[in-house]
Amino acid sequence: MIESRIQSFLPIKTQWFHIMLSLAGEEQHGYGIMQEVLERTTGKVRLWPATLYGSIKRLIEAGLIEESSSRPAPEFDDARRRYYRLTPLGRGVLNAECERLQELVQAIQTKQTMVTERG
Amino acid sequence: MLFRSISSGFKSLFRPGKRNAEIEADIRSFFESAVEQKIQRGMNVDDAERAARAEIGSMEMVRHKVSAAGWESYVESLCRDAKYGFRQILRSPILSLVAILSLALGIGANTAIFTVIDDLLLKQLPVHDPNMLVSFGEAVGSGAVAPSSPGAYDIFPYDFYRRIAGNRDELEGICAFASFPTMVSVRIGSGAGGPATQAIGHLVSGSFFSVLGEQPLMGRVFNPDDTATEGRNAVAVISHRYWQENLSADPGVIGRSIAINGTSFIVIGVMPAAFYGVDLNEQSPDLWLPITMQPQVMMGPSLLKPDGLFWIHIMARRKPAVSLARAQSWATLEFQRFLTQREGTQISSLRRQQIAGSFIPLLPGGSGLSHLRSAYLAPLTVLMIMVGVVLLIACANLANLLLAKAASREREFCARLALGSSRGRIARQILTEALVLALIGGGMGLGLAFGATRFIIHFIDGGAAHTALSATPDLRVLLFTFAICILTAVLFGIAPAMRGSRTDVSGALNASARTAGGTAARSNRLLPKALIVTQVTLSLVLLSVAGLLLRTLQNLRAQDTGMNRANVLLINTNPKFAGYQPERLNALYDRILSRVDALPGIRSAGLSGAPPLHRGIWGSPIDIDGRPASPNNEDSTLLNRVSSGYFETLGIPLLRGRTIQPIDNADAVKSAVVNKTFADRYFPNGDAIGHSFTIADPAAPGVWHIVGIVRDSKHSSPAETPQTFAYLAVTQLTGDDQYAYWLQIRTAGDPAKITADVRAALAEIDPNLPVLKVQTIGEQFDDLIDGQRFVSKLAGFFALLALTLAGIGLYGVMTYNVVRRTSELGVRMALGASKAVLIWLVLRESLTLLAIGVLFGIPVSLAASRAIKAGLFGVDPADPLTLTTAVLIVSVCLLAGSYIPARRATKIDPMVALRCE
Repeated sequence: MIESRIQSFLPIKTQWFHIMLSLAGEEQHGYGIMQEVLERTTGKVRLWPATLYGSIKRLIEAGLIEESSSRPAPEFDDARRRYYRLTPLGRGVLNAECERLQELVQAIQTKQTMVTERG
Repeated sequence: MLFRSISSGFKSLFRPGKRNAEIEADIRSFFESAVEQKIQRGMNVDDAERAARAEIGSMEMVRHKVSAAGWESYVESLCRDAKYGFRQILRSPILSLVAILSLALGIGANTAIFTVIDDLLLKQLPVHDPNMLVSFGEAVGSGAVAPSSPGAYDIFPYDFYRRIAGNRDELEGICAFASFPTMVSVRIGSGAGGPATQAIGHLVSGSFFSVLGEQPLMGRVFNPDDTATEGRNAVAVISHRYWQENLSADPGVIGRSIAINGTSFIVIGVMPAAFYGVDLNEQSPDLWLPITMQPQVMMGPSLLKPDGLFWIHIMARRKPAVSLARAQSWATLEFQRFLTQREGTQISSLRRQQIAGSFIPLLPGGSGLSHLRSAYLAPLTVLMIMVGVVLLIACANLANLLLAKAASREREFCARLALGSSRGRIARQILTEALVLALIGGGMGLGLAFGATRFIIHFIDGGAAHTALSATPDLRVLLFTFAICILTAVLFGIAPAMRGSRTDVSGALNASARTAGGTAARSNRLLPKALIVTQVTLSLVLLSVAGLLLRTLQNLRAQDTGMNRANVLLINTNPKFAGYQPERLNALYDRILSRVDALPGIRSAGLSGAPPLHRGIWGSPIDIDGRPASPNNEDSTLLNRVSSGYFETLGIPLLRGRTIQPIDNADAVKSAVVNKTFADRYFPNGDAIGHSFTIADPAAPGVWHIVGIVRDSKHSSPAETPQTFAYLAVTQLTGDDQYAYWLQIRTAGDPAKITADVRAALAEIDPNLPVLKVQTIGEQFDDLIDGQRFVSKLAGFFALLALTLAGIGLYGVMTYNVVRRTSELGVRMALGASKAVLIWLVLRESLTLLAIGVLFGIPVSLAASRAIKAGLFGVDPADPLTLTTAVLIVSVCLLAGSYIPARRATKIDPMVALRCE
């Protein structure tokens, strides 16, 4: 049941993947997510606020992420910030998407090896 | 996921403030985090804030994009568009009123005709799982007839039903019922001695209700035991309406005794209000009676005996596991065996061949049986197409009106496009406006349709007091209307929407008012013209079709029916209700005829079993001079029973011999008068008088001697070819067939004026003798051609409606053109153009459109006329007079529609026109 639900999301949109990946380790607020994606992709992917918050709204509706009720230590926190985290379903979807991408990368690598050997 | 999306959507819809506050909080926190980080990287506060603002962009845009991520944003924008649409409608009230009224008429006409189609052609019987019911044959014909030629059978003798009734292998259950309703007199009250009323009884088998799967509201329904023995079980199941109206909804009605045609019956059940049996006809039954009580109910000889006449219809419920083909071949095989056994041992090879060619088709029975359905199928189909065309014309009108509006809103659309709106968004906005108009029009149309449907049903059922036809729209009708609204909106909204969304931004904003209209490309002006041409074409088609139908009606009315239809009054009575037994009837007839004959203003009077010009006439096979007919060429005739004075009253000329006279009494030799076709067919040597014939129907036993020959007259249709007809002396019949129900009176003046005198005379003879119906022979004739009257009158109405709509459309477009060309016309005037030249300038355009429309319209009209050829009488589908008249009417109406704007063009003040920027 869960497996089929997970499969129904695949493949997921690029910006969803980036947002979910940045929430894989810890809870994040909107700006934090944007920063994390920017750094991880060495500036290649920049989630502008409209895209970022639009995607967050859809991810919440899809049940892949949720608003977190636990907050960081008060000295690092701003009461107005909203933190997001992956739901168990979201984590499952993220893992499945990562596996799918890994298989894809492997397939590409195999092809490349074959092309190089022939060449 | 879906649930969460829906619930969050609803939250946003109903609490938009909260949603906006949340988005704003997110953005603010984003902004603060960005500023904080930029300061940490060494920027000063001002630079950090500026950079963060640049990063975020327009707050409004972010809010819009985030909220657009949910489905609710579509609803929100739809609501905004609808609100805006309403404002646009209110801004030009006259234009909108015309649009809404056109739509209301178009949609109303469609809904009304569809309601009747739904009622008559699509509705299923209100019984359990109607889809599993099958009818043995088409079962629309009714009566009591002898077996005849090979082919498909739909009417059967009672013993065939008895033979197959017990089968459970091929069908789940089989039931039988009389192929005709029986008018009965009912007395209710203590000892069943109260006043008599007329009711419609239907003879049904014991399995009738169980096969239909119907449960009673009160009491019980019949079971097979109720029809096990002939004449033994006088029980009745009554309709809900009859219970309410005639038995005062008596809760203790079960067990009450009512006298039906003199026999006491016990009420055992009341059916639910929705149940009307298996016949969807003008009137539905009041009482269901056991088929085995037929001799008592019909007060006639038994039709239940072996080797009896064919008079019942059969219906059955299918078994899910048995295919229709298997059940059908079983039924056919059983029927062929039955017919073979019926013939006895002496069976000719020809008869054997005929039997092998007889079969029973099992047809879907879920929608019940209806002779109205076959009678009105063609008229309703023609009318449905016509109202569809009327709606198309209305759509073309609205498309033109909205196109004109879209052209005047070009600048608004340009401004919106320049401010970042998408073209799709503008098209959606115009379509939403169209939808708002269509829905308002549809709502009004539904109201109009409700009234119109009542009128149409009143026409179809002849104003019957109670009918299974319903004017109330059901869910299917509502869905149909809604679908029509959407379709209409798309049809008339698509052209303006495309036009609006194609607006050229730079052009229109730069242009001056004078040139704004001018920048509209040639193609933009072509569309309204194409729509007008389409309207002219369609109006012409409708007018010529309606013209042909009206000519048909006129021809039918003018048709010679073989009798003199001036000044004849027909009165329906029933001596049964006054308690007359057959032996007292002849004396009653004498009294009625002599009393009525003596009234001032009356030329003659006569009695008959059936009225003249009446569809349901009696017929039977006959043997001429006692010699049996050959099996492949059966002799038969239509029959009526008449008194002295009948032919004189109706003005049916006597050709030879004599008519029925008072001397033809019960003791005299049985006398019959035949028509010319009868005499010519069976006595080609011209010696019919003096010969005799016997009638297969046991209701008219004995040998009938031909005493006279009368001219052929029409019976079931003014267009029919003459059929053999024999008139028997009513006084020489017996039992139920001795009853005469119709009194014909020829008057010197207006027949309506003597109605009261005749009523008084009948009351004087016997106050219990009821007058059930009074009508002139003209009205009776109209009943005969009501199918044609129905279609031609409504077709005429719809054609006029189409013409009016097209006229309004042309007027609108021409007025718009004159307004658009105000400055041009002004310049022409200033340069000295005369009024006539200006009028011609405007009219020329209309004339061109009219000519093209007529050019297209003529071949389409001819094709449409050929399609309805079967419904025409005495007029050629390509009748030049009708087509020319239609062209003339269309031309005059449309030219009138464009003359007014042309006149307006001449009233333009050149100074004002030139200043009109």
